[in-house]
Amino acid sequence: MKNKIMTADEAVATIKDGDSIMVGGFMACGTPEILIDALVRKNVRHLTIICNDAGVPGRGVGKLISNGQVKKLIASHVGLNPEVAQRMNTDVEADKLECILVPQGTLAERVRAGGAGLGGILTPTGVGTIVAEGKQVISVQGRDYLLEEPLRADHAFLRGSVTDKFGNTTYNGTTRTFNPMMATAADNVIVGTCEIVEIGEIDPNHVVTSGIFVDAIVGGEKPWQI
Amino acid sequence: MADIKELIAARVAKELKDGDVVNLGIGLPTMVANFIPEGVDVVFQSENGIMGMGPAAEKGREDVDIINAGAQYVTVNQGAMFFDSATSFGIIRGGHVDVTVLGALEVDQCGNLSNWIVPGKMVPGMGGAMDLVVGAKKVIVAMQHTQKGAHKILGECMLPYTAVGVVDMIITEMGVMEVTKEGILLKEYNPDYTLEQIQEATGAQLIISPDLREMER
Repeated sequence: MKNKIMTADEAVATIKDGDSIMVGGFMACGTPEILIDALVRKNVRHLTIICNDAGVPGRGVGKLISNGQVKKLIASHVGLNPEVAQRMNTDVEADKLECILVPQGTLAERVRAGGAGLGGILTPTGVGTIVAEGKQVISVQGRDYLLEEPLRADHAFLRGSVTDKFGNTTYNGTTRTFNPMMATAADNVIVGTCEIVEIGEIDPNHVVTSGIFVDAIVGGEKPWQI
Repeated sequence: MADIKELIAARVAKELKDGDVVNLGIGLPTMVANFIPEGVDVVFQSENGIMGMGPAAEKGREDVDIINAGAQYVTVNQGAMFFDSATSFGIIRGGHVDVTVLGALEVDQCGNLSNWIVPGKMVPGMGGAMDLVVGAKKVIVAMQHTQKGAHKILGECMLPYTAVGVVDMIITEMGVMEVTKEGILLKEYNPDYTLEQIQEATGAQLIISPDLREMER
């Protein structure tokens, strides 16, 4: 079996300027900080980041934003990271951050659709609001829905609690968030995990993400204070 | 100020029924959990992935892998479950949350809600609010009646909508209002204010309920 275990720097080696990356977590709880740190060291630029939120300065994708590596952010909430507003409103064109806000449930389903071979989803969320601008409204059984398109990325950063050497992964507490859907919706999937165990040590009943989705496993992740 | 918020939160809590699945927004709505009437068991959902959320974690005993949607460390009750965000919003959109309580920048007499953006000034994002108000069976707006005197309850929202026609109830320090087809019906009032003062603080014409009574405390 292919060895998927590597260092964080090895795992991010193929990421290049302009790539898109899905990052799991909610307010950085469930975000693999060791992978974010490696990406900061690599200093690739003009990234498109897909994540629930902008983290906070110094945590989660907030580190990438602070380092000026993010060109476009697709997220549901950015209000707890004041740097996002500063970078959205900057007069320096090269530093400008484009921010696309998506309702949280819609974001989760768009990622799921991207990984599940669906051509999109129909949701009542956003009907009659500016979120509906430019989108097709489809009536089904008398109710209006927005057609929301699937979302995929070049890479996904997952944060596991326990991962076996095949990549089977469990997520503790509220770290699960977007991780299981993102695992299915990117070409190159990297798990930063707290504990690496032998194949067979995780009860199949408890595996949330199958190893078939995982390309690289990086140990050394730990529970972080927000 | 704290008293006003507690008054509002305590009144909202009286709307919750035994067995309800409840999602509380950040800030004042979170305080509702402190006032659940005795004999009423509700199940708190947190959209970042908890069914059966418990109180805030004691200092020094936090599990840093367990937060609520406001990024505070919380506990979970016996019988709780963790899930991913797609499952969480399936629960929300699918009508499995009985009551959602959240704040508003503006709410109008048609039940339209605006609470996620002030164009050009504040762009925090909608987070889970758009899904919650579209999906929950009952939507309660809990907020101070005005923004330092400026109307928040209006004939028509000026800010971009979070959703249209979704608000069922508005609870403020001045009273309890229901959004009806005819407009905003004042059902309970706080006797610290006159009806004239309440109307003056409201940017829509209030309909006074024939059964108007003092606000339950």
